[in-house]
Amino acid sequence: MKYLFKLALKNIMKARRRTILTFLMLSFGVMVYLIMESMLAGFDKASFQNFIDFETGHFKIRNENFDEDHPYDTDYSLKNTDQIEEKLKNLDFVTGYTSRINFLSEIDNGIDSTPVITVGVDPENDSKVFSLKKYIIKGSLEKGGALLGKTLADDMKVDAGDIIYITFRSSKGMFTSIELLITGLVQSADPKVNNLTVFINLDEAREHMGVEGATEITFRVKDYQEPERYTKQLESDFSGFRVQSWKELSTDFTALMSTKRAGGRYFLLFIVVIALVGIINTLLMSVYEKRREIGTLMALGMEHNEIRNVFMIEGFLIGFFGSICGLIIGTITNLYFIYSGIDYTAMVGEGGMGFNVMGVIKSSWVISAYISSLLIVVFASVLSSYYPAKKVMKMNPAECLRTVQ
Amino acid sequence: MKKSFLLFFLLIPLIASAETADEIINKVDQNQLFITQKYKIEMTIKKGNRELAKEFFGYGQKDGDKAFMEFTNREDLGVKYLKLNDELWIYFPDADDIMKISGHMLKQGLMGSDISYEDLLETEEMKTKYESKFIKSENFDGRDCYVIEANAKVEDASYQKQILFIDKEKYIPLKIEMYAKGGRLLKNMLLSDIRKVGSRYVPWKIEIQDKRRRNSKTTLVFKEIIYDINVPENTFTRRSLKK
Repeated sequence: MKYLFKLALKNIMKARRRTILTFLMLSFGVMVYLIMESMLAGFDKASFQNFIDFETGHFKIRNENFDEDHPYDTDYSLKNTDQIEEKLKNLDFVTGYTSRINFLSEIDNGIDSTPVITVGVDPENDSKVFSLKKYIIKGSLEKGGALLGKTLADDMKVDAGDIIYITFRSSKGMFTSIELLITGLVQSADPKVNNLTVFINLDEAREHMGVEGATEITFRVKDYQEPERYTKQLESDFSGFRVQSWKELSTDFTALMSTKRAGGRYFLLFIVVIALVGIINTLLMSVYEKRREIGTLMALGMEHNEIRNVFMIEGFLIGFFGSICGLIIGTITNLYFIYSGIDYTAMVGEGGMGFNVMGVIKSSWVISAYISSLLIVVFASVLSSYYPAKKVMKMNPAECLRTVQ
Repeated sequence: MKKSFLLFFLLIPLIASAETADEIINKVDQNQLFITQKYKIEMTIKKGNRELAKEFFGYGQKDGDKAFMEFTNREDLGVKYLKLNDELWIYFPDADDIMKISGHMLKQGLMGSDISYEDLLETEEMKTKYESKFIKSENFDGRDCYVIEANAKVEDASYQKQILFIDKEKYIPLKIEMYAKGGRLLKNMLLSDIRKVGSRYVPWKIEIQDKRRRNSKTTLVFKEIIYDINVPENTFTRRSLKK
């Protein structure tokens, strides 16, 4: 066996240029795959964090009849928010809570209009749950005023200090149009906040919308990684309401994420195809080149199986070292992406590429990517060397020796 | 004695002209009342530089507040609407599916126009939701009009205030301004080409402008309208949607 390995290694080294090319192709593919997976994982992580910081909090309490298909419908709101907030205050694992009213409206500057989500925000408590306040880039949210997403403001060609109108139907059905002074702009890591949200004061939202309490109360808990710990108590404390953890609230989001991850799988498939073609090519060439040698070996009494194995070992060696090399280069390159991160705002504008992220995103380590790329690439390499190796087995030593090169 | 006689004479013209706002609105409502109707309408939706033309016909029945509409232009061919009391169903032929629209969805624009489903399907009389007040007489578009201010008296009225310019002779509003809560003019409705159909006057052309946007207008032009006809059987049933 050792002898076969030696022979295979020698064969590889002989056709140096070809081997190096295949080797580089493999390493490059593995490297890109590794970097991409890490980046996607980083996106996932950042997206989830943003989702929690801007949309779900750790838990949400809503009306029992809240309709997920119409999340901005105010027909089913919470009437007695004070009572619920009081109860939350007395729970020792709750670190912050706030009420919000969400509804759909249309914003206009007298020339153009566009649909937006209007959010009534409790000025005192909101920052205990949501990160909104940290991302205000200009001014603040004041009474009688509005806080607009930066991108939305740019689209409407307005700035802080300008007047806008929002028009909607109150919960009873009356057309309501209110004039608002833009008192602040927000630019956050959540594209939804930037592109289509208008924040106003909670009390004003209540008054204009004709809603008594709020559409939701969001709160944070001490250990958010395992929301299941609290579910039982929350369910008994707030029976008759719908209490959902961020995990339950993000099921659609998770599904979306996994669809995006599937893209990574296709990439791996792509590398595998490259590996297959490259290795088949290298080895086939080598089979033809080495006909005389193979004939000699056979004439000297080497088994067909052994010769086949030599070629398969060649495939294995290229695949194995190619992936290892790719993984090493990938890891080194990844260090930059993981510890420094890239500012995606500069790269893709403010659309967020469909992800819930913005700003500097750091990649994360993905151990499974190392294992899967190594296994799959090595397996594919061995598999693709099987065809050239099989060709060898069909050879006749006399014919091989007769070949003139 | 002489004094009171004089007073009496002074009062006569006042009494004669002082048709109260409620009476005027009543007459307007009366003119619009029907048992059944059939109509054919051409609708043009203008939004900025875009213009969409649509065509539909429909039946209405006062009793039970029923309405049925079917689109006949090529893009929306076969799209049908059915309203039974507070419920609205839409049938899309491409999906071959009936969808129920209720609650808040009723307040959205019909086929992307400036008219909400409610505006079109609502046959409720004005006086049930609004308190009317006579403001003044004014000439509008060459016609003598009563200017009536109608203020919402219930929370679920669509508009907080409407100002109607009502033709003194025909009792048809020629212009309606609709104001949102907060006092802003939202929509402007212009009714023109008034024709007599049977015993009542009907505006043959209706223009609705969304005042919040520049260049946004929906125009409805009647091609046909017949009152108090026999509506084909089963028109106001859900089965008729899939036919």
